[in-house]
Amino acid sequence: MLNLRATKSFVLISCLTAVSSLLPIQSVSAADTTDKEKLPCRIQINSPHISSNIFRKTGLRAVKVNAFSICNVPQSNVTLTVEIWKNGIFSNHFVFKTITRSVGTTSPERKIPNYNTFKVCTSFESTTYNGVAHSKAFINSKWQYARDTFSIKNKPLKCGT
Amino acid sequence: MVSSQNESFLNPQQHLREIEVSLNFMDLIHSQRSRYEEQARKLLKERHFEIEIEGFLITYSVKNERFVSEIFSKDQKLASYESEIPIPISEEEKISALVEFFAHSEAGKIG
Repeated sequence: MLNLRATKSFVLISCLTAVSSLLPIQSVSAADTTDKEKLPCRIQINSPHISSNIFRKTGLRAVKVNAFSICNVPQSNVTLTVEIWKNGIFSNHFVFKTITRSVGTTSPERKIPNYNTFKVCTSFESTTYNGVAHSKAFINSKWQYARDTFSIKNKPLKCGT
Repeated sequence: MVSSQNESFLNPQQHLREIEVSLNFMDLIHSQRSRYEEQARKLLKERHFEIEIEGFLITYSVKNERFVSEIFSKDQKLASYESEIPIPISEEEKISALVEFFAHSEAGKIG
């Protein structure tokens, strides 16, 4: 069942962003999600980190970025893209990209995750990575697109790739 | 330094899934290495090929100076996935990158 208040907010925000055809998605990093007012849809992305799970279980060091899309209205056919880039002297360098395409309709408040974006470290070279995510979804009878959401607190990691 | 701070992002079930994927990945890297090396040579030569594994159709290709994988369940009832990595310069690096890429592509969806 739709939340009426949320639906009204969504329609209002949709109208405000219609010119740019951008989904009203809040850019939220993992560290700052508690105090801000939640918009009807948002992408949440965490900062690049060396996965302790992967390290503990396999001995491999890998840089990883997790993200999910969530709405408080139904969304369908959600495409969530997550990319890892590493900082360079003159420009950033592409490292890895994954895209998850869900099928069918997703209930409000259900996360569409993309937790499969990781790259194994090949050295201990100090490297600063950044993560970026964007999405596409069918909401309220139309395709809507979410702008890039960037990770924050990107610290140097001892992980060359 | 290995940090677990960011992994509070995942709930317990997702933690388990992450562990499962990483173990699959590690197992595939070792157990399927010769198949992956053969696939890598095929991809570098033909720039495109498809394989079918456990109900999934996986397409590998070379597009816009990247290696690309696309994974679909054959019945199209499950989510589909796509991955991209940059193409390294040397042949040795290409083979090595593709072995990891193939394992990554299969690890998250199969097994």
